[in-house]
Amino acid sequence: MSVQFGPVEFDDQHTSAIISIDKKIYSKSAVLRACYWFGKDLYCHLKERGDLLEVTVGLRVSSPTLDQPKVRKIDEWLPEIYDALLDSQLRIEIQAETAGVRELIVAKAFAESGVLEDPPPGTFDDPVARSDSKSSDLVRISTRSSE
Amino acid sequence: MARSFLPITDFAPSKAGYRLLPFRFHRLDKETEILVNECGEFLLAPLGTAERAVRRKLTSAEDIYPSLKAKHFIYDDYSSSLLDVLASKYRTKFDFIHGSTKLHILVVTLRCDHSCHYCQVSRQTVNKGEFDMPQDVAAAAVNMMLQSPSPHLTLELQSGEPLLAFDTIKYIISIAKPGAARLGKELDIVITSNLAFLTDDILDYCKSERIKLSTSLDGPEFIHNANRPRPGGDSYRVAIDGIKRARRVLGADQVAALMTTTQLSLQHPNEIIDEYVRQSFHTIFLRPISPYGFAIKSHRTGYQMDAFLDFYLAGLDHIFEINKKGYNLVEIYTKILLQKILTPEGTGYVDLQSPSGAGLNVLVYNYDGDVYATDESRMLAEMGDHTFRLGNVLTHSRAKIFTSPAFVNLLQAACNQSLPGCSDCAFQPYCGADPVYHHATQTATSRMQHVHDYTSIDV
Repeated sequence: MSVQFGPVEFDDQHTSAIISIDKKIYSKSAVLRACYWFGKDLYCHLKERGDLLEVTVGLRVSSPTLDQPKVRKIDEWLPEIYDALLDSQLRIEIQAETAGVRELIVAKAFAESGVLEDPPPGTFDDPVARSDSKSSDLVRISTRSSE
Repeated sequence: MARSFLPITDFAPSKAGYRLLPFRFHRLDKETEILVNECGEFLLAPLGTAERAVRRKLTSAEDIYPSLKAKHFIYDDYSSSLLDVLASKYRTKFDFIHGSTKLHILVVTLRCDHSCHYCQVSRQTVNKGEFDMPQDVAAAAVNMMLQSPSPHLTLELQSGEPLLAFDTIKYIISIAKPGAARLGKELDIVITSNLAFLTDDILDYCKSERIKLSTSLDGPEFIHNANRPRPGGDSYRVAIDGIKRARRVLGADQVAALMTTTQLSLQHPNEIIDEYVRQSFHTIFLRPISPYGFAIKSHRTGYQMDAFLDFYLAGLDHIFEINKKGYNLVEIYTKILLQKILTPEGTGYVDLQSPSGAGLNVLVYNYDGDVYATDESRMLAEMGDHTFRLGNVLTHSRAKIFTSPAFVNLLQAACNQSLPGCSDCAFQPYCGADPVYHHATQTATSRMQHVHDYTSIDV
């Protein structure tokens, strides 16, 4: 998998960097979620500039301390940051694609426990019940793709 | 009715392609990632499998394709009926939500004769009767417990040392048992005691009322006595004597023991485990110290999680060896984690579940009537932090307790499905939210120290 990022700008001491990210490839939510995981070691600042998202990442501890005798330069963090961005974007795409079926699984699970008064609409093939609103079953299993 | 297999064409790869089911993933190393679905089913796969699945680059001819279908990461025309199974597993996993609060802990007194270094309770001296639970508070607490929708309740009487207020215990049980019977509810009763004041009369009472005993056993004599000082320096002898007498009267399975790991314990995992075997226990719970009460006032007991993990793993190796020799010994925490990872069954372990067990599965009624979401919430209150005080049994109804601002705030951080970071984490189905712990250790209810702790362990 190869991912294209814009040019990365570093400060003189290489304790911070500005990464330019194409908004067509990575959503703002994906970038924020990726940044969250680095909160212990890095600070992150996000700015929108046209078609780009500019993320400034910097070391929270930039020189050695007794607690942290070895400090990684910001350059060494970049591969992990790129991986995290890719993973976050994938997670968002998975969540978006599976949101309907997830809701249906949960609804069906709790409907059979007697929590729900009415059966949930939809089928696994059509979680939002666009094509078959007459189905009387709780869940109809179709053998055909709705695509 | 005759049954037959579907024709082989029904098992052929689907021409219509596949669709995704909800799952999360996590890179384990440079070659492997783990995929975990909503029910905790997992698959170790080559790095990039999740991306290939999302980009529709997988083909049904690949070896991993049937595994992805069987573990419910993708589905096609020929597997969609299995989604009912997925819904059943999901329901099973969250079965613990059903019935609301099951465990009700009544703190009958703050008095105690022990002065344990790690004690979570602001203990009072043995003679200070003003720290006992008055009858009107006890009656109101029992009444609130019985209002819980759960058909099966557990009443835990703890403190302090509850046997110092045995008359209060007898009063509570005298109203709780008929009340539960009247409502058709099952009621289990447990007394958590150091056993120092366990008389034959008390044992006879416990037998007649079918009460279980839970006690502390921190290891062999030199560890137990050091961790749990009492006048005379004989807490180990008293505990072992109490365990033996209780087993004789109540039965071996009616007496349980728990250990707490201190700095001293860290150096002696094998000796602690051997003590449990010597005392004929078949379970041991290697528990880290809780960061509350005297545990953090006393610097003799604290340690870092890495030190505990070394202790835990060394202990686990020793437990494996003991089992290989034919003695059945279960490490409870390992059992809980494996049950979460390998089965859809819930564990009932309120400290590691989502939604959090705080309030939803356990309520604590302090001697003065204050109601807390967990025992740890009460410890915080004793330290002056009343964040998780939900109300008082004398002045608040059950409805008021569960709609109190304190409880609503707690609920907002009670589901790891909706917490930052946790919502994306592959290990979410195995983990839990513990707002009280996070508040105590990080002054925020929604951080995910648990996740960091667990993901630091090699899979």
